Amino acid sequence: MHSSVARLPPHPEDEAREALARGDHREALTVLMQAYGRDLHRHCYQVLRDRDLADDIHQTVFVQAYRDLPGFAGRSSLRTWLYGIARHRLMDAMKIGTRWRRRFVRAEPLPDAVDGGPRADDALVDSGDVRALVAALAALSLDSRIAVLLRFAEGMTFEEIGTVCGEKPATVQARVARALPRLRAALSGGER
Amino acid sequence: MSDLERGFEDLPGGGGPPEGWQDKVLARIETPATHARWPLVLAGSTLVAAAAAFALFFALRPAEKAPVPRRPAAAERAEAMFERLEGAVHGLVETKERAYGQLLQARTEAERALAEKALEDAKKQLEQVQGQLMKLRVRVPRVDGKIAVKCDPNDPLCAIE
Repeated sequence: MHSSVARLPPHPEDEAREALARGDHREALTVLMQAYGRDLHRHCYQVLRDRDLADDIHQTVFVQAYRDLPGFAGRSSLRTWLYGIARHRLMDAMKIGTRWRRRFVRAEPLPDAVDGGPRADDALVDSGDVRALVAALAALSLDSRIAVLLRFAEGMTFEEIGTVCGEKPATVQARVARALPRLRAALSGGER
Repeated sequence: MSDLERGFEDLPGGGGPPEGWQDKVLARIETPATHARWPLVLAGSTLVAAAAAFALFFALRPAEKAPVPRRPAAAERAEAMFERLEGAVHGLVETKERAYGQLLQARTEAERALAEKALEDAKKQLEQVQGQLMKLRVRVPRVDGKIAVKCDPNDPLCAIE
């Protein structure tokens, strides 16, 4: 007799771990790219607000993940592990961007404290509230911005964010809590 | 749903990754180290060249002359002289005692005169050698039990009388 319960597709975490256990790192990477590629790209873009740079970092994250997969210890989920790699690459990109701007575009404010004005990609955003939120996010420090985005855009728990950032959950929770009033104020028009 | 949560839902997401991005990643992982290899090769060859130059420099450098062992040579010479004089003293003391014994056993005047002369000669030689030994003792200062000589080691009279 056939079971009436439809078989669920395997969870990408399990599928990737099985591929890893077989030593098939390429297959594991393919699973991870299909499962988390889109979300990770969105995260990179929302942190940087630069499409080309986000594309580049997004690919670099998976290339590095492939190289580091043999050493993956399994202490966290592969998803948080990928976001951890992305965080490092994003911070590198921001540092390089900061140095570049300091050297060549001195008149322009630093990226961690940007003007808040709309960029080319944000021009598609019609809502004034969203534009204000984008500006408020851009005004946060990089650590806070990443933590807030992981919490509210990626839906991670504070434990997961702590793993991504290499910090205690309480620390990232406090960081997010400090950022929230500014974001709320932006949405309610307090900073406009 | 709060305004904040709605705001995050509406945040622009960059339109997703570009077409064919997975193929690009796979292409990048399948052509590893083409750019990562050349700095390694460059660093390695620089290191080898530096090591070769270093080795060549030391191989071709003229050998330095061994420093003249000033103090040990002079000290050894003084030590040898000291030992020779001490040996001479012991020998002359024996000669003197033998001559004295002959004098005591002399039966004739001729034997007595001969023994007396031998005794006088031995005494004179002994005094002379002892005098040299005393001067040598004064001239050779010792530091920590070793003879310390500060004169020119090429001087044949260095440290000895």
